[in-house]
Amino acid sequence: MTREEEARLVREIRAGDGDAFETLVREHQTRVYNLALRMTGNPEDAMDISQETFLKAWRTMGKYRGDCSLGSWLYRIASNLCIDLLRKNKRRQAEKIVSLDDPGEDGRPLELPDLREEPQVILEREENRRAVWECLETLPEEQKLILVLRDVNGLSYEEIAAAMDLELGTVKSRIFRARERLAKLLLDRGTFELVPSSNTRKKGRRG
Amino acid sequence: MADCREWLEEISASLDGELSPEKEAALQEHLAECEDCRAAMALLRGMTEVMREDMVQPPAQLAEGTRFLFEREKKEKGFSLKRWRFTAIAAVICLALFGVVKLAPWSMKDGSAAAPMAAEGIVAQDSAKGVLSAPASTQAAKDLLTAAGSMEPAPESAEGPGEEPAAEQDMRGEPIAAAAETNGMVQEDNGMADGFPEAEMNMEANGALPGSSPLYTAESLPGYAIYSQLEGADAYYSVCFTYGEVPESIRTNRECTPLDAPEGQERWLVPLSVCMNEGLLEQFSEIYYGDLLSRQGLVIGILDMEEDQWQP
Repeated sequence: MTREEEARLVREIRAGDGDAFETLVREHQTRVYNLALRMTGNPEDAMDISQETFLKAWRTMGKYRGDCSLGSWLYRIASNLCIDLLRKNKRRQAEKIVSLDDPGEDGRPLELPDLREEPQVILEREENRRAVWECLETLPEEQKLILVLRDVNGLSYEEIAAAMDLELGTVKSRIFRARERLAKLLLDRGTFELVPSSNTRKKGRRG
Repeated sequence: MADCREWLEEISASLDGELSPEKEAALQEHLAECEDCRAAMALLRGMTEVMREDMVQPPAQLAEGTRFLFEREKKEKGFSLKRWRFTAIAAVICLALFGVVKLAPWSMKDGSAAAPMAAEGIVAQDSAKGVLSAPASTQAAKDLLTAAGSMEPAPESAEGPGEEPAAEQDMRGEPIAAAAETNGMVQEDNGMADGFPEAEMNMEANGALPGSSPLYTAESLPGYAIYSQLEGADAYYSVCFTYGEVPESIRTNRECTPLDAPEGQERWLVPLSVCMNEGLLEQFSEIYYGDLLSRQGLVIGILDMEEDQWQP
C-alpha cells in the first residue's frame, strides 16, 4: 500500500468508513497478530491485543500525521499494549523464577561464548524451533519486542525505529544485543551444537 | 581477536540487509579470513531464520470481531465505560458451543415445562437465598427479553422434558464444585442440545452472589448483543463464562474457579468483578465482545449487586 493509498484509507476511516477500517485490519492483521502472539506467548492474549490495537488506532487516528507508515504506527500501538500486558503479568507473578542475569540493565554486554568452533545449527528439528521461541520468551521485554519486529515481522531498521520510538542509530546495536543474548541462551540449552571444525585450531586458542 | 566483537554487530546487520555496500564489502573481506565470525554468522542466521519462517495466520474472527467492535463503538461514540459507577451488576454469561439459545420460561412461546436452566438458576438462587423477587419483574428484564426475541431466530429450546425445576432444590447450599458436578452429569445425559447446563446458574447462586434482585434475566442473545443491552445500565457488571473453553488468559487473570465438567468439556466460573479496575474495565467490552462474538455467548441472568457484596 503506497503512502497515498494509506492517506486515503486514513481519511476514510476517520470518516467512520467500516469497509476502510476492515481493509486496514485485513492488511495488517497478520503482522500485528504475530507480534502479539510472540510477545505474549498465547493466542488468546494475541487476539485481544490485536483487536485492541486496531480499535485504539481508530480512536486515535486523529493523531496520526503520516510521518511514519501506517504499519509502523500500528506496531507501536501493539508493542505498547504487549509490553503493558507483560508488565502487568509480571507483577502478578512477581515471585516467579528469579530471572537470568539481565544484560543491558547494568550496561555490561553479554559475551558470546567461544565461537572458534563451527556451530552446528540443528534448527530443522521441531523441538529446536520450539527452543528458539521458548528462549525468546525469557528475554527482557524490549529485547523480545525488537527481535519480533525484526525477525518475525520483517520490519526494516527504519520501521523499527518508528515503531519503538528509537533513534535509527541505536536499532542496529539493540538488535545485535538481543540476538547475542538469545544465541547464548540457545547455546546454553544445547540447541546449537559446537562442533570443532578441522581448521579452526590454527586461529590459536589462547589458554 | 578483540575486535571481532565489533564485527558481530556488523554480521547481525548484514543478515538484515542493513549494511551499506561499503560496510558489507568490508565485512565480507573480514569473513573471508575469520572463521570465528563465519561461525557466529551461521549461528545468528540459523536463529533468525526460524523466526522468519514461523509466521502464523491469525484466526478468522480477528477481522470480523474487530470490525464488529468498530461499528459498535462508532455508533456509541461518546459512551464511556469510565463513567460507570463502581457498583455492580453481576451478569452471568454462558458460552454455548453450539450457539443454542435459551429463553426464560416466561418468554418461551411453547410454555416450556422444559424450564431452561437459566430460569432454574435464578429460581434456585431465589429459593436458596429467599430474597429474590420474580426475575421477570423488572421492566429492564422485559425490555431485554423483547429485544432478544427480535434478534435471534426461535431458540432450539425444546430440548425435551426433564430438568424439573424441583431438581435444583437439592442443590441448595452445596458448594460450587459439587453443584457443578451434579449438574454437569445431568447436562451430559441430556445431550448437547441443551446448550449448557443449569449447573452454572446454581453454582452462581449458591457460591458467589449475595442476595440481590435480578435486573435482567435469561436471554437469548448473540454474544455481541449483550453489550448493547447492558451498556445503558449505569453500573459495572461481572460476567461469568461458564461453559466451553475459557481462554487461558482470562482464567489466569481473573481468578477463575474451575468447575467439574463432563469429559471433553471445560467450565470455569469467572468472576470478573473481583479484579475489575478501571483500566481492565476499559478493555473489557472489546475483549469480551470479541470472545463472545466468536463463541456465542448468552446472558442468562444479571443480578443487581453492590461491589462490596461480591465474594469470589
